[in-house]
Amino acid sequence: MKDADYAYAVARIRANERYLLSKADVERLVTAKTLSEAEGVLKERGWNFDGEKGEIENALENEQKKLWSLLCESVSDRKQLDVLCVQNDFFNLKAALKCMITGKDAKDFFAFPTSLDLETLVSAFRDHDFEALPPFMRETAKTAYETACRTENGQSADIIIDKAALKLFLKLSKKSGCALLEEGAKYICTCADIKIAFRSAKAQKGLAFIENALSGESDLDEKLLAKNAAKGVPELLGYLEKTAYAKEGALISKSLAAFEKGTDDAVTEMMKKAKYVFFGFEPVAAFYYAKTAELKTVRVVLFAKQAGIDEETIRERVRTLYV
Amino acid sequence: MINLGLALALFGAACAVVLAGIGSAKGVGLAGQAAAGLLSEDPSMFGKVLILQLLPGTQGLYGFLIAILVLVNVGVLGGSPAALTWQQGAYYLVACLPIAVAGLFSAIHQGKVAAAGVSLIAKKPDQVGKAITMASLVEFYAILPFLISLLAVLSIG
Repeated sequence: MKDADYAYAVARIRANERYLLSKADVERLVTAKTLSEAEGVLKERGWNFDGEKGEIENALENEQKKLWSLLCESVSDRKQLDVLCVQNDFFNLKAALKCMITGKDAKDFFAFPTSLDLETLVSAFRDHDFEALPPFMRETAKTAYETACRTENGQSADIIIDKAALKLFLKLSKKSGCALLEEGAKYICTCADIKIAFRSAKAQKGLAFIENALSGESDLDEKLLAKNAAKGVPELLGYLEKTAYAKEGALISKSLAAFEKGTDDAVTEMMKKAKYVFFGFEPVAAFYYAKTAELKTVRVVLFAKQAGIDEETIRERVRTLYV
Repeated sequence: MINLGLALALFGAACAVVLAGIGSAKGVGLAGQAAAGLLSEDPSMFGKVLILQLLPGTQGLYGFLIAILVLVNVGVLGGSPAALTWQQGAYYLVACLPIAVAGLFSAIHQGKVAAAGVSLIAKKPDQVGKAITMASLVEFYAILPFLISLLAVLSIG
């Protein structure tokens, strides 16, 4: 697609950027005395709390659906959006596999948006009919299923699925021709590998395990990352300090929550460049990430309000906003 | 019977109207796509985006005017085509080129600026004046070649 073909999408996205929550809105949410006061702020901004689940889940689900239908209506070919939901697709694959093993209902764990037919996904595991799945995940699903059955350990299957997800995410982002998305995908893959390395180091896993678990798609030297993670947490953090990911290393040493917030914020900052792009996929991708960060923030704030958590703790979890 | 001179003059007129028309069609089309995107969210903006969509259309009009003028000058519209020498025909052809070529490219670029302007007012509706001004600046570079083509064609007549 030529960049000029996105003129319709970009204008629509820009019109919708006006409805993203501002810093002032989030501040009002954080300082709200009660959950209903916070919900009132969102209602003022057009959020809809109707639905069959709990109020908070309804609002988040409604906004998620609104976002996805906007993106689908804006682009001329729905396939262009596959890159944005590929991570959810593989997350759903993991959920379906785990639920098949544990006997739970996978529907409760699925992530949206997704390009998959979730009924087909569930039945593929139930009937061992992996041919019914889309080609991009057929082999991964089969291998993960066989590994989970053979090892009776979900971790090995998780590694296979996570690696496939990151590889496909990066591949699709390159194929999209959107430099910003490619940059974001590379960063996300690198942070995913840092997280894997850190968790492996904490669990004192061996070098072979870590090398196998890393996606191999990061900006960092995979061998050095694995080698230092195998030595231990201090060595891993020492190594990260010498790389361009020193900030991420410092964040993960604090807590995983701080690391996840930090990486989300970095992606949002990256996506802010799309504010100055008027043609191309960049504004579409940026809006998706902006809205996703907003939804994460609202989720954190509302559930924290419900649990009666103090303002300062909530503020630490609030994501950087796009607007 | 069409002689070479007349053929060259008609080719010039055709270039003026076709090339500038293609540019305008592309420019208006691009601005129109952006306008449709905004109107699907906020139909009340129609009046504002209409001006932006119209702006890249002027090049096609300029090309059309030059072509009409050439057709009148060479007598085609009057029903009695003049017997032009090839030099006179070539003069008409060259006189049509400024608006043909500059019209083609300026309309496409003006369309891009107009589409970006639509995106600007989609986010900041109060910036409509700036969006129109920016798109209008490109118009200047369509007016200059139009005037040159006009003066050149008139000077032959």
